[in-house]
Amino acid sequence: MKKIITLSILILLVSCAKKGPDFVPLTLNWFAYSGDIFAFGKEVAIEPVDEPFSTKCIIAMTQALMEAPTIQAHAEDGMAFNVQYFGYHRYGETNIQFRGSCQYSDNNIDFEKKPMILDPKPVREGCSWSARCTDSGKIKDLEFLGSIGKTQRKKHLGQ
Amino acid sequence: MKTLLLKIAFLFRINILIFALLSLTIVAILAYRQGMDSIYTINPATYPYIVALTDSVDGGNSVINMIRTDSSIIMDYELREGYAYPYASIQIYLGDGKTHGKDLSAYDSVFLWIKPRGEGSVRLYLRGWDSTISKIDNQASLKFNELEFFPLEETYPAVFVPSEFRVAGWWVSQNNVSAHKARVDISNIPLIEIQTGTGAPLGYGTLEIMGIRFKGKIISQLSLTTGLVAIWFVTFFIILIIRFFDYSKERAANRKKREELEKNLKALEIEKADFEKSSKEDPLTGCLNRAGFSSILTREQERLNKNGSPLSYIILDIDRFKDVNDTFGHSVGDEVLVNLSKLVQSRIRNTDALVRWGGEEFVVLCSDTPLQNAQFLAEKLRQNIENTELISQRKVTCSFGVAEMIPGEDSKKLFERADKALYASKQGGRNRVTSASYKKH
Repeated sequence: MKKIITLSILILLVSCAKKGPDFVPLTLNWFAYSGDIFAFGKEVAIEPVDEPFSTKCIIAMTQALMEAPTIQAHAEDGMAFNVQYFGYHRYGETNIQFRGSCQYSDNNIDFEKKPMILDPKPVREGCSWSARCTDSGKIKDLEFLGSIGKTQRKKHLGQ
Repeated sequence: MKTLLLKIAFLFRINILIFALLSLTIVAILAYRQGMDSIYTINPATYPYIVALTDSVDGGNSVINMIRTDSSIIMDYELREGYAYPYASIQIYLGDGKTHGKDLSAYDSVFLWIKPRGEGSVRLYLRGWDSTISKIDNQASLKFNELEFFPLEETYPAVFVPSEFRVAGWWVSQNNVSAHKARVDISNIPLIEIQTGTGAPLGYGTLEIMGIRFKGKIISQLSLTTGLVAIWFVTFFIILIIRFFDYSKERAANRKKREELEKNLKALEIEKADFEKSSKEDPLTGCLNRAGFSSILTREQERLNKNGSPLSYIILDIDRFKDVNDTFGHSVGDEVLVNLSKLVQSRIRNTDALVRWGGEEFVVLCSDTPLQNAQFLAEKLRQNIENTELISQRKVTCSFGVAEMIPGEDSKKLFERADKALYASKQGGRNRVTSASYKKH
């Protein structure tokens, strides 16, 4: 009996000690939207952005996604997104809007021309999200649509 | 043989020069002693310019008769009362006999073959022209460089040296000659006189003169010595010049040798560097190979561990490369590799390192680059590759895996992570970038 108990405890400890992968594979396909400037509503007029600003925002967005708990939760198989972005005017300054949706193998939409429609209730958690990058390069309003519980935001990016 | 001798001669030229100089000196001294004589002989038997005279020119009554024989002249004379100092003499004219005579100063001895009949002295005068004292057409003004001797007491011939002559005191006072000009000077002798001596007795007498000879050296001892010394000086000067040129030549040769050595050293260093470089380079693409990569990696790891400077890995793998090789051949495959490496090299920063990791696999080591920045760089590379015609036959794309190193981590673990991210890109459809972001525990 004692032996059985000892063995069970050992198995429990080992199984508890077993870790999942240390990293989360994250694939991002970027699309700079250059279609209809009013595709997202008349109040959101698309405007061009210069490369230094877009570069800064893309890098910040990448970091925000890497650190987002929703993404982190998918360590086993990782996540792959198509990410569409465009510049627009907001509160007197230019922002970049990011819209992400999970990439599927039959996803042949040209997101450079077509606006990305976000599924409010995606099949898989974290597959639909949006965020914006402010004039100063900070990511704000990162929202995973259809998340269980509260919308998760990236606090350390100054939101 | 001739060349060899010339070479030896050149080699020992200074020694030869000194030897020649010594030999010349010895030969010159010996020659001077044994020879190099300058002789001037007057043979009265044949010499035309001889005149006999007595004190009758001064108002005396003495008479003389000069007879030439085959070998001499004989002065038969009778000294009579009349002149205070009766005399008889012969005069031998040299040169023009007036102002331009013979220079006898080069001679160091005078030989006189003279036979008197009876005792008594004989005076030998070397009459010199001194332009500051003598007057033309006044024979009495010619300087009396005199020597009085007793022939019977002398050797035969009688031998005298110039220093035994003196200027006649009575002539000095008669002509008011200053002490400075009253010294013997036989450099211009237009007249030699052989006269009966002081206090010669009245009556008959005879003097037979067989010859007069002046003997000296072609050059004076002083000239010889001066000449030899000058030659020695010149020779040593030449030796100095030779040594100087030898030294300059040696210096130039040494400098040339040194330069050549430095040149060879430089070439060797370049060769060494080239060899080192080539041993760290992939021969096809010119990228670093794994050997060249390891030292860079070590350095960057140290920077990460010391300063916390982030270090990221990008692995890129050519999509369906085997297919390219199988369809178009390995030369086209090589073309893809070369063009791809050139493209990537042109897009990465100077601080990044491109390595050919395997057949169609490359690694970009991004120094001081966090993961999100490396992801962005990888995405840019992906787009560039997709939009560039690496080969004309088909479009070529790459899949990317990106990972960031943890401080203290083994590089193998980093590589595994990046490799898994690459695998995810391949699995996800290729031509995409997957990063291995950290999982927070």
